[in-house]
Amino acid sequence: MRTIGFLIFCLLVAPPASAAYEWRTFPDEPDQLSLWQDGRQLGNWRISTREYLPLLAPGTWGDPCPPPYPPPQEVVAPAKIESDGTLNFGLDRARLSGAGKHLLNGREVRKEELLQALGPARLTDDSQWPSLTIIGPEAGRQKVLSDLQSSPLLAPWKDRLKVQDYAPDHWAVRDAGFVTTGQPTIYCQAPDGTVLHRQDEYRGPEALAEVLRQVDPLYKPEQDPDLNKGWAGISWPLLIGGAVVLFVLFGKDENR
Amino acid sequence: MNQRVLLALLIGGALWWWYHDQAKMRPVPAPLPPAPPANPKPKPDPKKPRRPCPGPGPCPLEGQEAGGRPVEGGRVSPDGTVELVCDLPASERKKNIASKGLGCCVFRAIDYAARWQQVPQLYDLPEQLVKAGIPGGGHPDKVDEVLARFAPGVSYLQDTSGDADILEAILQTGRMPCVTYSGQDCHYSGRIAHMVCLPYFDRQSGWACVSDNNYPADSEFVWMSPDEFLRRWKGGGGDGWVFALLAPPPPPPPHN
Repeated sequence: MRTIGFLIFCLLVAPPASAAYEWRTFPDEPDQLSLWQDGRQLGNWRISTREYLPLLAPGTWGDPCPPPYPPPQEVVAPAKIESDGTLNFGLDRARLSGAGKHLLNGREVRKEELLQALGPARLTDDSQWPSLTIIGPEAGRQKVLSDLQSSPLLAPWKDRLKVQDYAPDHWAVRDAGFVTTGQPTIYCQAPDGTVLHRQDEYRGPEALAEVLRQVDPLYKPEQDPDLNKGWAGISWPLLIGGAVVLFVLFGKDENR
Repeated sequence: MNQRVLLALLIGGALWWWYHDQAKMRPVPAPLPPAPPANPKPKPDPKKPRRPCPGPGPCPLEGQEAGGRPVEGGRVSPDGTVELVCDLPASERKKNIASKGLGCCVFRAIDYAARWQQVPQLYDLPEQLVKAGIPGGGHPDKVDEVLARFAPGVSYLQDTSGDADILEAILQTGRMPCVTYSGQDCHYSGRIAHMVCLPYFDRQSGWACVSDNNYPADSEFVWMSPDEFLRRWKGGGGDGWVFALLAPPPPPPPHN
């Protein structure tokens, strides 16, 4: 009888460990959940920052700390527990079987095609291509991009450059050391980041083509053919020297 | 006649020498510096001192790094030898969410790749799914459908063959692979079905790194050996699924 009485006392006194806790959602604040116990709000869980803020008094919030009761798993990370116990964060596993395909824009291709498909939308090894980066206001960037697409002067570089354009406050350029004040700023960089050329305004497709010609690693000016020159391309000392050699070999010999 | 031939040879030789000497003095453009590796690696930080090994015999690797098992870390590998190829800032890495009760890990991973390669149509793709009333849960055919709807004309590849060459090819060109991942690491004790990003994978350097959209903070990257990663890539259903956008990556930081 004493034992039963003690058990009843324990059940009455000891609060249920977790049953009293309850996470509630807000209809107008999807980023937060509130934790309640016995009709009292204990604190809030902020989903985006994964922080628990204790509510110390009405309107007074404490510093972030671990919650006294864990927030629901689907809130911490949206997962479904599958029949085999796998925690699924968003894969349709049934439709992943029948694998072994190489797909380019949804079309099945061979592995070689995947890596070397023709056309500009391909995954070629462009790691050694120069980067052309345009930074500035939208209108200025569009003018350069449009010329890159359509100007015949720039056509030879269309598929040999890694072209990107950014607004001056974009994360990729803002804090990376780029000058972002041009109208627009145009960078041409080697694959390691070495700046090969920079200009702070757009000077038209002709000037840009000249720049690209100079920074193109495949371009060797000394191999340029000059089709106008013909025989005139041979230097005069060489011509005179050749004539002397011919004369010495085949000229009249007085001693004969 | 012998004297003539000798003289001709002498003059010819002098001309040949003169011509090549002149050629040497002709101005040629300065050669481009030799192309460095596509992703220059930082100087290794000094290694953390390990506890002294009492010996005799070789001392085993300590803690989680032993055997290349997954270990949480930052943007540089735990041994300080390599850094992320695709270093998307934390401010651009949102957490995974659910749409109609199903996780959007596939589409959040694509969101990361889109932000890295600047494909704005795919920014906040999970939020776009929520707004359009499309449930989460992804597989290759659904990715085709979603991209056709939200980003028509954007080029991408998908591969379900589990071929690690393709992962390396994507990263060698500076692009961000999105890969299936089965967990069992420092964040998940059990099996999971998930898609994450792979900002580093190189069998030669011996490192792979996972950027998990459930744990997007800068200190929550998971580094492991390539073999450990490949097991987890192919262990989540299918033979290892990878998605990549074909848009170019951001330019490297500029320098002289």
